[in-house]
Parts: sequence; structure tokens; C-alpha cells
Amino acid sequence: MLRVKKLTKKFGRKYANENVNLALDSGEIGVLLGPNGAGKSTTMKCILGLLSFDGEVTVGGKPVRSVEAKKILGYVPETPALYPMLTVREHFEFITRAYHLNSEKAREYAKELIERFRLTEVLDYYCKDLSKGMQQKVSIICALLPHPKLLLLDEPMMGLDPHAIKELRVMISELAEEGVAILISTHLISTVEGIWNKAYIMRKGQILSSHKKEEMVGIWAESLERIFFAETESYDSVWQTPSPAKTPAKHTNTVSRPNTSKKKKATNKKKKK
Amino acid sequence: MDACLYVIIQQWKNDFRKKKKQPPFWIGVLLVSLYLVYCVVQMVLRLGKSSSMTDGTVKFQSLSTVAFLFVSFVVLLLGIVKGNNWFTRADINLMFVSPISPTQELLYGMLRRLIVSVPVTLILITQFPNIHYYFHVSAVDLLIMLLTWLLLIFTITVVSIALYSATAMHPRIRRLILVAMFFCGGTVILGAVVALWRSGASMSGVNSFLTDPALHVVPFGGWAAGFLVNMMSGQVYTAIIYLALLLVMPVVGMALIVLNSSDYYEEVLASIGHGYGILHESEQDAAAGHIHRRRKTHLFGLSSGEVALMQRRITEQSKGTFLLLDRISVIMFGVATFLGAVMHVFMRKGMYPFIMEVITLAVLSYMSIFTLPAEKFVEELQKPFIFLMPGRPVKKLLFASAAPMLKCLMESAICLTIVAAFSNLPASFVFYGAMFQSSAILLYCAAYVASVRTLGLNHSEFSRKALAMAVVSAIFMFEMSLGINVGHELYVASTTIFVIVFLFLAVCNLIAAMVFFSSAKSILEYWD
Repeated sequence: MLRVKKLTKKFGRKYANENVNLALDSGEIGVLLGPNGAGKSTTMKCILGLLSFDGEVTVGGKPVRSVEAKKILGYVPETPALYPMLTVREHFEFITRAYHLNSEKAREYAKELIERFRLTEVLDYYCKDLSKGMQQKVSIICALLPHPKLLLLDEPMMGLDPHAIKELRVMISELAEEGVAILISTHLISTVEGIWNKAYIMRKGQILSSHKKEEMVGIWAESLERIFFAETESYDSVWQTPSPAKTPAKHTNTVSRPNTSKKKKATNKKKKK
Repeated sequence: MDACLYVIIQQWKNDFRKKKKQPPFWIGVLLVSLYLVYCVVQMVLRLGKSSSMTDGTVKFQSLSTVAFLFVSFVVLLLGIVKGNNWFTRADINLMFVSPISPTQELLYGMLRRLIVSVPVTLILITQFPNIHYYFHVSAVDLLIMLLTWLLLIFTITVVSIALYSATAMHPRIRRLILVAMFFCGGTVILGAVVALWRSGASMSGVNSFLTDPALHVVPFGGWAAGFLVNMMSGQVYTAIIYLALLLVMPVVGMALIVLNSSDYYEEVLASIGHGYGILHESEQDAAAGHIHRRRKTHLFGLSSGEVALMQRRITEQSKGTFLLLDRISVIMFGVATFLGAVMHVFMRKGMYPFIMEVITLAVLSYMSIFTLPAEKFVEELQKPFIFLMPGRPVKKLLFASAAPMLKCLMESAICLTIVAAFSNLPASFVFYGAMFQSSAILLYCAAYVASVRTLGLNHSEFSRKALAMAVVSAIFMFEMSLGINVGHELYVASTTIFVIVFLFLAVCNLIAAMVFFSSAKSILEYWD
């Protein structure tokens, strides 16, 4: 469903993304993990076609900037931004028109989503009068309303209440079962724990490593957090502790690792002393 | 396009529904109604009469040319530099990612932009009886002018969005276009000044320059003037050439828009500050060869306490500007040159310069006020640090609004030096005049804070600005009449003493500003 090949994004001389490769098939839930400034949001915006880039991004086999690709794409932004002088209901009407949806079916689906996210009481509120969490819920419903085949969620849990987080997690799993490919960018690892299929760990604009859950065994299969810290916090620990047991090891990019030999020699000398 | 229109119309409807419950809206409606009634009464009273003005048609054509050139310059400049105003964050998150084509999105942006010009057009129409009375212009010619105006607005809107889209990824080309625009504008102003000089400081010289066919080669504004002037003088074939130029440009603009389809997305995203602002700036700086240097902004060792608010804004403003002067300052200098030349003419005719001095200061003060980004000030007032930092609210408000005052002081000093050079005015005029103008900015900032305090943040930006402007205008009117009356007496006694009037008025402004800040201090006591 989503193919990203050698995606590179430069701002002036600075590389925001370099040689990013990732792929998601229908029904898969991919997570982009990385510390602040790792390039997750830039990757998401390139995939959406909002930023120009070098490389190739296709959605359902179509170039990402084509209208055909956009028809099957849903996006929940990091910061909800809605039309301040439109009500919640009118936002759904706008989406129905923009995606040329069947109004009757869209209304029914919207009703279902509104109930799940407990937005019934604020349907006729102007969006500028809603709290950030409420606005995020409206954003999520706007993204889900056209029944996308690829859903991009940029920090979707930010500002949501525990009930909404639970509901969204359930919904993500349901959508994946229905065949929707989902890519979630987050640094709140606990929120995607247990629902992911593929994890891409990013650092300094590159994909440090990719992991498939089915290939992970033992403690590594249980905790995405453990993998994340092992990969990003300390390179040494990756070499010193048993590496994530998986077959085969898939490092999508060749990332230069720090020269640990000198450190090892120094520690050996200390031990000898 | 259906969805885009839905957004525009529905937001309008909702805005109206909300505003109709608010008293300021009805006060506005009342004022507009009174203005319309006044226009109608004036029209009825002047029916069949005309003023004794000679060369009315030439003066009308000159004024139209100035208006067309000015409007086309400003709209193009704002369109190319601040094209992001056509879109909002919601457009990025909801519209740009939807299957609506980029061209339709651009048309939506253009439509939103065109709507802004509707009130100006309506004001122009209400002034038709006056134009007819003073300039002896026939109804047909007035209709031609309206048509030219509408066509010009449409053309420059399309062209500016096309240029914005085409140069979104090419900052150097954009810079070149801006340089060409400023060069054109500067040449026209210089031409007017030279014509004034040559004609022995007579306005007829300026009129003949402004109606000269050579000026009609200036793109957009000049073409519009060429069409109007030639239609009025019965040279239809020449007029058709200018009409064709005005009609062809939107088509070329549309073609550019379609060719550049979605490249403006990134530009909009960056300029709206979707987390890419800093990176985008670094890109632009790299292209321009700039490096952000560490700047000293210690303000003579006073940068502690509430002064830190001023220091922060000065640091922010000083980036990308030279001594706080920016593009708007350049426009101000152009206007000052024009005012200086006009003042020179009037002084040679033996008119009292103090009237012109007061009017010049009023024009420059209003320009400074209109170009002041007051909305940034509201953003500042909503930030937690201004509430949380220890200090007295009045002092905090004063220093938060002091940075624009400093910028205005710099601008005003240069503008008034230009004016003084034209009219042989003493240096004290520059000194006291600059003090008055910068105090006027502070007064406006204070009135704006008071209007935010009175109306709250739920009202529109326009309502807040209108209220502040009304209050400041009332004070200005009082000050101007005082300045002219007292100035007359003082000017007769001594030309040097006269400028002290400005110092007195500046002190009045400061006192009024402090009163406004004090009345609105609770805005920093409770966040809600």
C-alpha cells in the first residue's frame, strides 16, 4: 500500500531525511519511532506530499501527489488545526464534499465515530471553542470518515483523554483487520505497544533499523520500548547486551556507528589494572 | 470547488450568526448605515450642481493613476511576500491532504483574497457622487473606472498568487521580482518629484506627468490607468491594447499556477510555521548568505525585569532587518519623499508650513499605525511568560509595546529628515516630530490593549483594531486642531518655538497611553 524509496529531504544544507526506505502492506501497522528532531514528522509530510523531496513515494501504486493517491489517504496531524468558525458537524460535511462521499453513508459512519469518541454533545460547537483534546478527536474522525486505505497518524494520542486513547487503539486494530495500512509517528512508545507490526526507529533523519514483530523473540518481542532504547540511547549497549534476536537482522540504511574499539580497549585496560 | 465554497460560505454564515449577538457589530452597522445615508443626502443636495474646480478630468485621471499604481504595488508586494495569508493551518491539514486539486485550492485562496477588496469597492462606489461633483466626471466614465478597478484587482490577485506559487521554491527569483518592483515604484516617485521641480513646484507639472502616456507602460497599475485615460479621451483602440494586457495577464497567471501545481504546499507549510519555520529560515539565510550573529541587546544594562520584554521583541525584530528597518520602512521613505515634494510646493505658494507639518506628521503616523502588526501583540499577551514574570502589569504592558515605538522612532527620524531636506525645515522639526510619531504608535498600542480588554479575545481582529483606531483618531483630531490653532500663534511669534508644540503633543500621547495601559492592566492579572 505504501512504498517509500530513498526519500531524502533537505532544508538548505541540512538533511531532514536521508535515504529513508519503508514499506507497508494492507492491514499492517507501522510505527515511526525516534527522539525529538529525528525527522518523523518531516517523513510523514513528505509521504503526504506536503513537502517536496527526492526519492519515490507511492500510495496504492500511485504517486503521492496525485488525486488518486489522496483519495485513499487519511491524515491526523500532530497539532489539530480546524476551521475555527465551522462547527464539528460542518467539518464532517466539508469532508463529505471534499472526498465526494455518499452523504447518507458518511452521516451514518460519522454518527458511529462520534459516539465512540463521545463527541455527541459538542456537535454544534464552533471548533475554536473546543479543547485541544476535543479538536484532536474531530481531526481523527475527519481522517477516518472517507474510509482511507492508508492512514497516517502523527502523534495521534497527544492531548487525548485515557478513554479516547483506549478507543483509538482499539479502532486502529480494527482498521488494520479491515485491511487498512496504518503508519503512526510517535515518541509515546507505550501508546503503540501491543498493536504494532512493523517498527522503524529513526535518528537524525535516517532509519536506524526496522523490526517486524513476528521476527522478534523473547524479551524483544514483548517490549518495543526496550528495542527503542537499545537502538537510540546507547550504541555500546547494543553490542554489549544481546542484540534484538530476530532473523534476519534488517538494517534498511547503513548508518555509521561510533567507533567502539577504542572504548573497549580503554575499558579492558581499566579491568586489567 | 464545492467543498472549498462550502468552507467560505459556511464560515461567513456562522460569523454573521455570532456577530449579530454582539453590540459592537450593530454599532458598526449603524455607522455604515449613517455613512450611506450621508452619501445619499449629499448626492441629492448636489444633484445638478458641480464644483468650480478647473481641469477636473485631468486631476481625476491623475488621482486614478496614483490609486491604481499604489494599489497594484501594495497588493503585489503583499501577495508575493505574504502569500501564506491565502491559506490557514486548517487548509493544510484538511484541504491540502484531500483529493481537491491544487489548482482549485489556489482558486479558493484567490477567492478569499478577492473578497477582502469588496468593502473598498463599495466605498469607492459611494464616493461616485463626490467624484462627479468635484471632477465633473460623467456617469459613463465612472462606470469605466469601476470596471477598470475590478479588472485590476482581479488581475493583480491572480498574478500575485501565480508569482508566489512559481517562486515558492526559488527565493532568488522572488528577490529579483521584488527588486524590480521597488525599482519601478522608485522610478515613478522620482519622476513625479522631477516633474514637480521642472514645473517650478506647480501641481500642474505633476498632473501632466501622471497623465503622460509613458507612465502607462508600468505593468498593471499603468495599464489600468492607460485603459481609463484612453477610454475617457475617446481613443478606444489604444484603450483596447491596455485592456488586452490586463486580460492576458490573468490567463498567463493561471497557466503558471497550473504548471506549478503543488509546489506552494511547502512554502505555505513553512511560512505558517508548522514546525518547519526555523529550518526554512535557515534555508533562506543560506541562500542569501546570511549568518545569524549574536546580537548585543543589553539596552544599556537595563535588560532586567520588565525591560526584558522589550529586549526580546527587539532581538526578534532585529533579525532580518537593518537597524529595525524593513521593506515597509522603504515604502515609508517613498511616501515621505512625496510628502516632502508636496510640502515644498505649498510652501512656495506661501502657505503656512505648520499646517503641512501637522498634516505630514498625521499621514506618517497613520501609515505607521496601519502597518503595525497588532495581532502579534495579542499573541504576546496570551503567552504565559508575560503573566508569570514578576513585575507591575502597567510596566509590563509598556515595555511589551515599546519595541514598535523604537522602530517607529528610527523610521520617523529618516522620513522627517527627507521632508525637512525638501522644505528647509529646522532639525528641531525632525527631533520633535519623531518623538510625536513614536508616541502616537505607543498610544495606538495602548488603545489596542484597552480594546482587547474591553471587547475580549472573542471579537474579531477587525473589531479590536477599529475600536482602537476610532479612539486614537478622536485624540488625533483634538491634537491636530490644537496644533494648528496654537501653532498659528506660535509660528507667527517664532518658527523654532512652533515645533515645541509637537513635544507637547507627544507628552499628551504618552499620558493618554499610560491612562489606557492603567485601565487595561487587569488583562495581565487574570489570564481569562
